[in-house]
Amino acid sequence: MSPSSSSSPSPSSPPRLDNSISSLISPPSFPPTPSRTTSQLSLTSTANAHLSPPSTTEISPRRRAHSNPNFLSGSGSNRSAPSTPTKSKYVSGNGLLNVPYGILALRSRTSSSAATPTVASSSRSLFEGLPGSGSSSGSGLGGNIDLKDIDGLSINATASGNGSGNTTPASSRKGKEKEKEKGKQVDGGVEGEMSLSIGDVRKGLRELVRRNTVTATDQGHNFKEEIEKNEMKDTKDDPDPHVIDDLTKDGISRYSPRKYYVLTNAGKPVFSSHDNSSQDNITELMAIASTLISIFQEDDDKIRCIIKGQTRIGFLLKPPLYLFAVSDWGEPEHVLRSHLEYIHLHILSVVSSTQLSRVFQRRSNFDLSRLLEGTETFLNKLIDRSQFDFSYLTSTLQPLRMNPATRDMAGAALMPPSKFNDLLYVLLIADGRIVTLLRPRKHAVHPSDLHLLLNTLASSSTLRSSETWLPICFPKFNPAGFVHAYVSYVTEDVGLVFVSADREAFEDLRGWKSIVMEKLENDKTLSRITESIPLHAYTVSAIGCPGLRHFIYKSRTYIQITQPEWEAPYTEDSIDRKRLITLYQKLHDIVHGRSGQTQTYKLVYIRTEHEACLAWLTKPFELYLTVSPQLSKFAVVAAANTVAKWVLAEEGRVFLKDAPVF
Amino acid sequence: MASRKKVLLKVIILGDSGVGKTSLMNQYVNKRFSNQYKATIGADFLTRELVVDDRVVTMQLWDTAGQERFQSLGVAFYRGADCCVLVYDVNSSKSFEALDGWRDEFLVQASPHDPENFPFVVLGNKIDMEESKRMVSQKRAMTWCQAKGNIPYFETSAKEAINVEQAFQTIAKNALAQEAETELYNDYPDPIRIDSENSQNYGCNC
Repeated sequence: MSPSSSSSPSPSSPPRLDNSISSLISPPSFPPTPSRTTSQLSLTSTANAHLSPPSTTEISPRRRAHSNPNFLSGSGSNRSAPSTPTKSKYVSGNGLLNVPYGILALRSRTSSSAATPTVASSSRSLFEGLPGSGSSSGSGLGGNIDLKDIDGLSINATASGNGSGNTTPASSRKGKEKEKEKGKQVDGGVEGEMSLSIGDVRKGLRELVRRNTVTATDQGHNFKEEIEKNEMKDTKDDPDPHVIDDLTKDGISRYSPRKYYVLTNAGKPVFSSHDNSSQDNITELMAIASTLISIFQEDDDKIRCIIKGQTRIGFLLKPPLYLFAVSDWGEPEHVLRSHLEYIHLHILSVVSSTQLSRVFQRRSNFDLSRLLEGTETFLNKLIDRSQFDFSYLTSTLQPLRMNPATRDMAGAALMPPSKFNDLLYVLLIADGRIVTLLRPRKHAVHPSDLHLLLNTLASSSTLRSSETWLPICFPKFNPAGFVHAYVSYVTEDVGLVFVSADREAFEDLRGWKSIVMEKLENDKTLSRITESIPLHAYTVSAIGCPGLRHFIYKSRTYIQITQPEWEAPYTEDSIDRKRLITLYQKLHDIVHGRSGQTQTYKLVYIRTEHEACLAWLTKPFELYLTVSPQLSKFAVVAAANTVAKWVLAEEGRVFLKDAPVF
Repeated sequence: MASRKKVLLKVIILGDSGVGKTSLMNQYVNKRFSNQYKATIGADFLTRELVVDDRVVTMQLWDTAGQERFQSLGVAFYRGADCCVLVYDVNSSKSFEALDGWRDEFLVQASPHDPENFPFVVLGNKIDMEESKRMVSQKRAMTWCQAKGNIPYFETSAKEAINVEQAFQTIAKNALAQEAETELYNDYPDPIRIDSENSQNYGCNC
């Protein structure tokens, strides 16, 4: 019963997962051999998986090619190859982050002979050519793996990445990454005569840092080892060997609201969010942060993050501004960075980078917080949105789900007359979502810019209740200057936005708006759009897949996502939603290798006691889905295929497919 | 503008090791004094709010380490200062003679926009000690301050809280006087031309 046999590999058919799951690959191994991505599922390892020597905990499952050419789109072809043991590993390049995941690879049962897929992107082992790097694994678990229990399990290079000294690339990268204990060592006094044999303050601080780093990493090791052990135990109880560690079992005081800070490079506070401590504390904290940053800057180095226990402090340096965030969510590093990027972009959208650098060139003591007064609302809204909205992390859009015919009608009504030379974008927005978007043929739209615009509109009821001429900088389009947005909400929820580079164009655009409105009203497009708003949200039950709880589907073609509503237990502000979004972020990190991993995966399965998640990366789409942890892998694969099929059928409704150009 | 946001002033405190920089700051912010000497490592930060001419001002005090081996925080540390406080010990000629060096160091590192008029304040600390120990006369100090462009001068005691409030009030006031509004939006930037140059903005980096 090979379900995939029915899928004829026609070019239009979506990628399909085959239903036979075979093997679990847990994280990394680090043999000094080239390893390949597991991009195209299809490991089979039941019998022939074997472990390499204990010190290098890798597995060597066999692989098979998938039957569907589409599926191998990443590698460009689907062919048989000699069956070779393949080493799978999962190491983040910075050697920092990796809690071991179980990565489940799926085997496709194909009609072709058993073959190892020649896997897509070539990637090299992080530790390639490094003598003995594998043996430094701190886990000591390698040798204990019982193949009967876990078929194909490779464990944790994390510890080694962290601890293997200064010779590996991982560590040298880490060197850049200065881990430090957060804090006030900077101002810690030393009693009486100081006997520190340090030449200057930077060395002194580094000394302190180094001491703390050692502690931090040691803790890290313990933490990770513990997880691994748990993982092993879990496995025993489970008849099914494909068990994954629980990434969130710590439970204690996780998921407190993340704190975000912006300061000038003189150490003056610009913005902070979710920090309830006194203003004085924040002001002092900013000074400390700027000093920490400058210590590394003196050496032409950049601090990226500080890790202390579960807390991560991520930095983003965009002189004349510095940004940092504090989080205990356990997200991949790039998630915090992306939040900080958005905050920075939003500040630029208000002042533009040209003005920002000009004002700080003139006066390095400039107090930007006063200039940005009133902007806090926008920044706080942006932060709130970026916590759970995957379209931020993936830099995509989620347009209004609606009848494509209505969308086309709206697009036609909005086609601008040719006399508007400086028109940049024309948008129709309903309930804060894009209905349609028109642009000049030669200018693409960057989703980040649109997020800034949509967030600005969402944060201000004033903007939505009157005709406005809003100067705004779209930093991804052009950080140097402002464009002007004519904003007019024609109903409470439906708004027109015409973006022009001509700051005198208000009256012209206003006149044109009346014409557009007439068209939209005459053919009832406007009322149809309004009617679509309550129908935008859909529940996961629409897919008709028992056990499926949630998914996020990103069309790589359209750079858009679709996802059903969050449902219980993933209700608003619940720990469950925070946990799940963090899992999604981890999956996203693994498939995209955002943490500097040298190897990425195309298919990843993570199971926790709460839920099981699958990430599936193909050329046309990325799919992240969540199912009940009780669901068999069989069913997970079926669910993935069902979702992919459903979205394909719904594409016209959930995506803005043919945005008109002018 | 009625509800103006608080002004934040970055104030750097410089001077030789042991002249009482940290003590002055502690006296000013925490109303406390300790006889015990603790060398500052690198830098220390304190914040205090005060009202100057009906404006609420937050002073961000950057206390530096006077010891030479810590003197390399450099540009980043001095950057964007609104006022610089030079402290010496009236019972130590050496600490007074060092003021020139500290002032120059600051001007070089911070490179303020208008060095001639950058607000400095000089504090002669430890006047609570017996007169016989005094090494630098008030006259000598004031002459120096005058020569450097009429720098305000205060004789203080962190221990007995003499003149500390007054000194910092002046510091804030002088810093605030420099704090002119920068009219950011007056100079409208050049308009963006969308038809020609922005071709690098094609596509999407997703």
